[in-house]
Amino acid sequence: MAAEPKKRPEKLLHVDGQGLKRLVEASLLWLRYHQPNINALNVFPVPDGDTGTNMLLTMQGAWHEIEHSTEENVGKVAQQVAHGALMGARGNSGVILSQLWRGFARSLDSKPNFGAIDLAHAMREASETAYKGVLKPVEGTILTVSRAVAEASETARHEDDDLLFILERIVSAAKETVAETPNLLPVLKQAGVVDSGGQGLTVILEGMLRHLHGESLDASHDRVSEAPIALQEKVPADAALDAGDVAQGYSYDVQCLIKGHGMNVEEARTRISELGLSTLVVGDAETIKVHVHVPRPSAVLAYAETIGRLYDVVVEDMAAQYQQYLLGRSTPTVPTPAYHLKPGNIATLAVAPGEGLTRVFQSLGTTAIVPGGQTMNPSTQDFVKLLETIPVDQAILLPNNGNVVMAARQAAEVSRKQVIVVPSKTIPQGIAAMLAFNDQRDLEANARAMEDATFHVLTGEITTATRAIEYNGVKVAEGHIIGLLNDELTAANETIEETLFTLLEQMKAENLEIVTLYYGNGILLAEAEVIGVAINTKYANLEIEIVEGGQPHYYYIISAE
Amino acid sequence: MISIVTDSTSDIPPDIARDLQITVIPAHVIFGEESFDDGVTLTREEFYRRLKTSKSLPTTSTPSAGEFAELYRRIGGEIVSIHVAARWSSLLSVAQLGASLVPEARVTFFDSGKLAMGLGWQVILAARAAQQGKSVADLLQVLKDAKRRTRLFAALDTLEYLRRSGRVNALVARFGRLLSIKPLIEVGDGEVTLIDRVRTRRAALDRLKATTYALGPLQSLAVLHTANLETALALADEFAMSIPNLREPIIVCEATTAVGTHVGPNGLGIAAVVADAVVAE
Repeated sequence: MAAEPKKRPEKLLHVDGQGLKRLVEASLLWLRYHQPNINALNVFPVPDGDTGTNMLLTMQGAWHEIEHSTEENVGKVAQQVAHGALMGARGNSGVILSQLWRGFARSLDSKPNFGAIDLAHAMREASETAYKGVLKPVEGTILTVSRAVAEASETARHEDDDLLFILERIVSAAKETVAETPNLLPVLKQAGVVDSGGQGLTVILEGMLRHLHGESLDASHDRVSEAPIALQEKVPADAALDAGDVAQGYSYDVQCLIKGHGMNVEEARTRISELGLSTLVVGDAETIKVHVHVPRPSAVLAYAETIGRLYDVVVEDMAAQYQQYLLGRSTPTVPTPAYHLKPGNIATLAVAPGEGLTRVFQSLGTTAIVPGGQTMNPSTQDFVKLLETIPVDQAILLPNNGNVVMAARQAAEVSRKQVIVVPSKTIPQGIAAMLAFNDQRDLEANARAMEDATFHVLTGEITTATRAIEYNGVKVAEGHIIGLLNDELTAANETIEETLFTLLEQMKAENLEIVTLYYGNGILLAEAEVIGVAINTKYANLEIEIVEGGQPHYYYIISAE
Repeated sequence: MISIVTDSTSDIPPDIARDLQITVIPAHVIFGEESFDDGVTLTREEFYRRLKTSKSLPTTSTPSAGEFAELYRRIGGEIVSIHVAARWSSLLSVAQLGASLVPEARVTFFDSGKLAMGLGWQVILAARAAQQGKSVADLLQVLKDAKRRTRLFAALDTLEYLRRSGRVNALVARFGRLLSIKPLIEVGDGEVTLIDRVRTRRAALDRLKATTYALGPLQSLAVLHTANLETALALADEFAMSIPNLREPIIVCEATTAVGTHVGPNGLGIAAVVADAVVAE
């Protein structure tokens, strides 16, 4: 985004609707740039629960709401932002972000513009609203950062009514608080990370500040090595983001590194920008990183070859991905005519990653499946839309992932239907809850019985560590096979089998009756059966069930009772 | 005194039947080419042993109309004949056909709407009233009341037998074949409803107990099982200590072969008669 350089020293005393729009856009771009870094701040080294992606998609929802708005009234624009963020909210951090916007907008009410006092008040209301939106607020998170931001706004406005000055104070307070989060929240310290949600909020505010400073938002001044735009796995999240570019015919996603000597980054950026959209060209005279959406990949690669050698070239057809994404998102896995519901029945909606797990939920009578969970946290809107298609007035939502619970709760509030969220945090918990569903009972009684059922099942999950960590005495090297017991990192070994047996020991499998192995995408039935036989050899009394899960990233999800 | 007749699907223990002068007509159990009289030429133990090992599922068939006719002729006098739910079995209509072959027979029929001890309790209560010299009209009143107060629950160890038998398709359809599930069902008047679905025997037992306690004060209780005697005895012991004011000892019995065929081994259930005051409407 081209920011108009501001000639200081005249003060910025007011921001109107269009001004806020530009700030939101700036924060979105800056967040997009920092997305991979924020994603990397997972407490556990597991390949999911991506805070950066979730917050970005939430801001994307906010941006779409005002993208074409010419509204001058800042209160109205803030309302639109808040609504967009609410519906786009994904993951717990996204939901809290949407609550911040909600409070911010409510405070601005219908003011034509905001000044220093309004900003301080809005920041306070934002923080307070976010705190109220969380059942058990935890310090050392985005909440703490939001409160520091509110306090900094209040202090700063007494010193100067210049909004740029106040925002500078806000951003430094946010950064300091983020740095403090490991001291406030022990799990962060153990994991050696700062809080990802707090970091995301800081990036959003920093993006706004950079805009006011007239600084670039595509990070061209950062060295590639310091701020890696990882050639990250293409998740549907990106496909959604890129929908606009695809629609315009810029359907190839091209990424590459150019290595050379004395390259001119500015010139490369100009040339490549002419060829495509969503251009990101960053680096220095020796290394340039390119990420661009183009109608034909050949032109950009041909140009790149003229200035240096090409490395790590990735070309992806976003149109195909987008189509797949649309199919996956917009058609519920259970088509509408198959809803076996009569008026007065209670619908059940479950989040499930993978075809196998989808079938399991369907076989238990789940009304509709929301795809996603581990790679992709569904948004509030995903739930709301699906709820609208269901021909009954009462529903129960099973998020089946700790990071989806808040978006589901938000959807329950937004929906006009009577909806209860049973806070299942894992797939086995969700399946246990679904088993306890009984269409003869009323909504509340079902929700109680289902939640109770989630406490009677043990969950094991096995995946590859995305980085090294030492947590609760478990030493993990990058690439290790790690095991999570009830969502806590408890095991790390060289092989899947070793990790699985460690988990079974921790579960005290000798006292259990039944273990179900849901094998993931990439695991063959035969491999799972070999492990099943090994388990049976060690635990002769255990009933072993092997079921296709088809989930990404996790070799096995284990349910034990 | 009015004579009481029932069929072997009632599960009434032989000594109780003898004491109360209840005549039990055996259903037929057929394993392949062999036909047995339920409880007479084939004990329940032997039945479950064969059920586990036999390649083909046993079938059960009702006594013939001729057998009923012969029985009614032999007993003579005023008879009240109480049987398995007409919705599940043609037994009642075969019995009626049998009675029509005996011009002098004075048989009044009653559809229990249940099976196993759900039927058994109704028969026992009617037999006691008969021993007190009650009239047919009185007995029918006792039966109607008992039918209303009798509840029957079962925890199935597996759905395999229910699937193989092709019965209760609508119920089974709700499970698919993906997971091993133990359903808790209520056998209502000619209907089976799903109460709960669990995955372990321990949980199934817990739910069966909770369901029993939730019935409120009970007058009579039977623990039913399919080749699962030890668990059934332990459960009966626990009930005996925790359920006050039962009017008679808890009966433990192996469930009827017709049930066993569909339920398979290791099933557990209860048949209870809820105390009068509770159901006063």
